[in-house]
Amino acid sequence: MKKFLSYFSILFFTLTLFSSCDKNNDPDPYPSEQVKGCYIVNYGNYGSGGASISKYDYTTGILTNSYYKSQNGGLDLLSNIQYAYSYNDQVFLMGNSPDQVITVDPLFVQAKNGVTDQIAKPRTCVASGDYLYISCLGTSPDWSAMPNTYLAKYNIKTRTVEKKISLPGGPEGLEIANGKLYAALNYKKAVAVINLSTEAITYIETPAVTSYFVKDKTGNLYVSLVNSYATPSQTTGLSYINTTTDKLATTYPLASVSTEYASIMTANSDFSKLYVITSQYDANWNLSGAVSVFDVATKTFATQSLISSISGLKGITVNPKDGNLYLFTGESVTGAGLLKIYKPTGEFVKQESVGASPAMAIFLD
Amino acid sequence: MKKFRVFTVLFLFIYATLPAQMKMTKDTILLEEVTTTAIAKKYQAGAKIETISPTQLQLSQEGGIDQVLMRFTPIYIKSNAGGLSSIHLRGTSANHTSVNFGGINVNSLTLGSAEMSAVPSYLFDGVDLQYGSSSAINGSGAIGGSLTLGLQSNWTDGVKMKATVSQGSFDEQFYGTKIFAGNGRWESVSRLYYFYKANNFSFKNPYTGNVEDRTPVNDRQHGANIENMGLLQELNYRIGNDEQIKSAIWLEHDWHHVQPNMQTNLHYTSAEELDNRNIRFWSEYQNNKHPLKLRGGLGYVHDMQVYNKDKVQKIGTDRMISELEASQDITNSFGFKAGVKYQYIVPQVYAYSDSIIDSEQHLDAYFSSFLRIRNRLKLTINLRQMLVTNFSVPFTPSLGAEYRLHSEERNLLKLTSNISSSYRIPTFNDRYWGTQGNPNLKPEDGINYELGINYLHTSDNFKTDLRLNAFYMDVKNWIEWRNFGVWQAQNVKEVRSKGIEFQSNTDFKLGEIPIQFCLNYNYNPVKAVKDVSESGVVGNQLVYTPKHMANSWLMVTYSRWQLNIDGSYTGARSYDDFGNQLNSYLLANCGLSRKIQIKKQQFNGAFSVNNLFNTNYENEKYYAMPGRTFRISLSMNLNIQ
Repeated sequence: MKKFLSYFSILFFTLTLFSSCDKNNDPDPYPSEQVKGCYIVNYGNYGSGGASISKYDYTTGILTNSYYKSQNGGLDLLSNIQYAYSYNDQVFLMGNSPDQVITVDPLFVQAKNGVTDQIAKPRTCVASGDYLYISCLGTSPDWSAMPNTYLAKYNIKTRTVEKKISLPGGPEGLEIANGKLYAALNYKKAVAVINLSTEAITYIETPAVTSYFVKDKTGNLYVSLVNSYATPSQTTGLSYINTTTDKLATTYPLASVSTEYASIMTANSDFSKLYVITSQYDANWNLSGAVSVFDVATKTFATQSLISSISGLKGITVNPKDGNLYLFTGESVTGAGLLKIYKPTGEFVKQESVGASPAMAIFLD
Repeated sequence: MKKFRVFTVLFLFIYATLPAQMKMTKDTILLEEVTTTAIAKKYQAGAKIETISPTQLQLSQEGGIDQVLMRFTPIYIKSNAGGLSSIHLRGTSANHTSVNFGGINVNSLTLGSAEMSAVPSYLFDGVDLQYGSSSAINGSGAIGGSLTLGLQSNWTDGVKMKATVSQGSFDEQFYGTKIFAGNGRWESVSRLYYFYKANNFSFKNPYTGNVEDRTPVNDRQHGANIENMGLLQELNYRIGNDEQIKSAIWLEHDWHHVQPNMQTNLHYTSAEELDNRNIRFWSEYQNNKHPLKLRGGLGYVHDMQVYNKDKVQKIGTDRMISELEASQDITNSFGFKAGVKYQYIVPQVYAYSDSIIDSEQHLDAYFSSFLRIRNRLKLTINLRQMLVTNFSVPFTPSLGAEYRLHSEERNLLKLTSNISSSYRIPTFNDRYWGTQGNPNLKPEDGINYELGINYLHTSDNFKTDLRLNAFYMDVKNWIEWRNFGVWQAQNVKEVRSKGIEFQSNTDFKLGEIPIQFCLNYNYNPVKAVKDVSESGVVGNQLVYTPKHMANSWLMVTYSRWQLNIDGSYTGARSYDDFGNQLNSYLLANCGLSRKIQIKKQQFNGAFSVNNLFNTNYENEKYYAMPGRTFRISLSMNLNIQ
């Protein structure tokens, strides 16, 4: 009997041990039903605050404005948020005035202070391994030539900028492909290619200054060509970069590509289409925004805009769940912006009022 | 509001039907009013025009005109500590108040407004502040009101000098001198000043962004230095008793850091800079020898702004101005003036294309007339038409009336009313900035209705001037820069501003001690009633426009001592279109001065405290303002010959 009880006890405790190690019983700190949604980044009014996050639950249709504030005990976002990037259960927010990198969890709770050291006018970012590469314009930028702009190599684990990689020309959009970092230069007609191992920089010349990338399924890049005041160009549209050869393969012209920041182009889930924001004149010669569609298979833009006459169009993204287009408009920097939702056919679905100057959105699940 | 407008119009026409069997007013009251009435009032019956007294100017002589307006008028000035300040008169924007010096409108033609902190009080002898539209007199931009900077004619015989030195908190320094020289016929008046402030005041910073510890921290303002200097040189020649030439050149150099907001100040690395240089020259010939008086003027203005030392990206204009005017008082009761004014403007802005704009011409033609009926009713009419190259400007009339309801030896009760149309042509930046300029803009177009009652009482030891005004203003085609596809100026909304303004100025004696006291209060709801944007806010009080403003000032003079105390109340105001508000606040200032005479020369020593109660407030969201500050100053009036 004694032996039976001993064996039973051993068996009992062993079973208990294994069952307590079952990960399925650990509570998920970021449950999907709380995280799932579209998070709209409202830039606000530069130097005067006003930035915010709006959360749109696309399954219920419920919009929550000032989401960051409600998740952080009433704390306002003091920086104007230029860009948001989701990576490994963290969301990185690029803040201007003050310049900082803010890290929040998928519930947009900020546990630690933003990082300000060696971060000056951050624009966008992209991650690779333990590093976040951040495009920065530097302090007191020379807006004509941008000689002092750089990439900050930010260690995600230690939350420090380990290195500043000098990159004149105003780096804006960033992307990683084939083990290399690509930087769209907004003040120079080129794309910079940075070897992530050696940090050596080479350039691919482009017919116009560039702003953002979209990476296709083969790892090649579409980059937007824009006509800017500082560096004008007659050619605007998309260029296609072969990231194996680092050559510009071809250019697809599209007139009046938007010079807005953060999210002027996006792809749908199966990468059959690219959507690009443009500006155009309506019948009364008033300038407004439009969405052009690029067919990836035929490599052509549709002759007619999918959506047109959108006033104050600032950004576009696609809901990966249903393929709907989310457009962000903001005519003033102190008033409400709008989220406008369209079906892939261009049919209007609904609109919601969001924060001031909505620039982009990320989807979390 | 319809009733208000109808009532105002009726008021203008019923004056003449009132019985006129009342006693003539004693000359003293009439005379006093006439001698203090500026030329502008002569042709603007019913307009609310306030003169900032020389005493008030002197109490704020170290700063810009914004300090004077903030302390002694119930006008909202949106400002930070670092040199940026804009006037919002009757709920309008800074572009809607014209600032005039001689025949020159000082407002920037590229930006539309005049920086209030860059108009130094020290250089001027008087400031007239007109509330409400006056475009028929002052031209484009005078929708909310106007400021006229005045120089007094002294016709000095001898040499006199005034000098002021003051030192204040946070390394504030002011040095100013005025030299008057003349022989009663020729006169030279030189006014110079230099002002510097490090502005490194301490404050409690609540905007730390520290998620781990949200306690406000002790912080010190960085990057808010100010350095201003100016010279105003007059050369005047009196040809005869009724003929004179007066010239003045005003050179101004204003530099300041762009003050970082509080959240950036904590991690301060460097600040950007704004540098403004201006040359304003006005010369005027007056001939009053004949019944038909003639006046001719010539002027030149050079404005240049450089941001952050980037001399490639300059923003400036040059303009030549000429004006001819004839006026005649046909009788004591009827007179007129008519004139033309021409401007030739050349912009020097890096973002403009020469093929689109290399110069612009403006021509104003105007006519004004006054009519007094039985010394009791005064009517005025002003007509103005401006012509601009490639731009259409509306015809701008105004009508005014004043009626002496009750008039006797010591009391005067007046009813006033005024209807004025107004306009503002879009700025050069609005129309020609790079590829974003909008040449299709319409001018802003306003109408202002005003009703007022004014009571004057004077006795041996007591004098009071009480005014109550009600106004209604409607401005259409209000211009704002918005993003409709690209950022561009557009005619986006219609704004209605209305309100009640109470103003009192009282002088009395307590025993032998003269006391001056003033109390002002404004109630001013201002709303957009139409907006072209889908998400435009309509029906809410405009951003940075308090509904309630009040101020009070007391001056007591005893022997050679003088004590002054002033206080102001700024009501709550929103800072965005989401209804988020900045708290109301009270500010108080005080000062003590003493006259000293040494060998027939006059000196004046003063000690003053600003923000007496160390109020912690934000005028502009996220921008720190200084707490209590101190200043000592020494002024001298020297008769050299």
